[in-house]
Amino acid sequence: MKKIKEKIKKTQKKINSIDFDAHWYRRVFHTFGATFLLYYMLPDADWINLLKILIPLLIIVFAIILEILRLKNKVSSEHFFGLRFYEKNRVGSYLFFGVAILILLMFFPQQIAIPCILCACIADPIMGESRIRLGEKWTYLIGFIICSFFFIVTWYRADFWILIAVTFIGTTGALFGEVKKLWWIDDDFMIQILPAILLLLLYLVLNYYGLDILPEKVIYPGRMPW
Amino acid sequence: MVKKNKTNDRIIRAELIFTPLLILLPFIVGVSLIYDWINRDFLTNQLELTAELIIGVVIIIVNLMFDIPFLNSLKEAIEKK
Repeated sequence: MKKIKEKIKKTQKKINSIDFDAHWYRRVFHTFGATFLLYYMLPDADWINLLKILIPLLIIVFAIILEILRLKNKVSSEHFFGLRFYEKNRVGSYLFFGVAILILLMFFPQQIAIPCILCACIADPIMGESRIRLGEKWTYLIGFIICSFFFIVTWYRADFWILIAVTFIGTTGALFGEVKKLWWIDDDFMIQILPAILLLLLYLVLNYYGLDILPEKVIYPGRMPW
Repeated sequence: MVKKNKTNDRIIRAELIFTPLLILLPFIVGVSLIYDWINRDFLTNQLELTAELIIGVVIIIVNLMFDIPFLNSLKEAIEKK
């Protein structure tokens, strides 16, 4: 038993001494967000629908409690790997990122939520790398192309003028959300929620006038294996 | 210039525990989307859910793009020890 304890301690020390760059970790954390699209693939059964609400809510509540403890210095910021310097006295961007995904999954139709989530998970890290390697001007162009691509892919079965309008509004919203840096709210939140709200407004206004612009769903729930 | 943010020895290395999850889960989702497209669309010759295929492929490619440098940086850090 003593030997096992010693071995565990030794391994723990070895793991803790590994010193690596947080830069790529943050990027991978972003692309990992696309995993949440799994939400739409889960089968449509009552108990699964209940879990679809409960599990994401519990994760977010847990993260909020953790952030409150961190900001009150009950938990050290050093336990949060990859946190940026300016996030030390502010809510961490990972929480904004998670809350935005949760809001999109729960309250927005998937035709609006999917491209907005992909903008944050895929376009954002690519834009970040472009900014470092190619400069600001190229970043906006690359960001515009990638964000547009996601809106086109999701809405390509809508009428042509709707596709153009949605792509333009969505992409502009996502880019504005990413570019406009605010201290109190993170761009990981804005890049998702701003285009989503703009598109939801467009959808609701046109729906009020009797025009349903939403195309077919992109991802359908899976079947139960039994 | 890439900003460096190095870890501290006092940190509980939760990020290392999460690493396999961060890398594997997006691939599983990407492959699931492609598999679903094959079953619902390709095999039934409907070609309506192409978006599902594209999103699956994009998720896999972009994750590969970022996983490789991440794993290299991790490998370098381990080798340094």
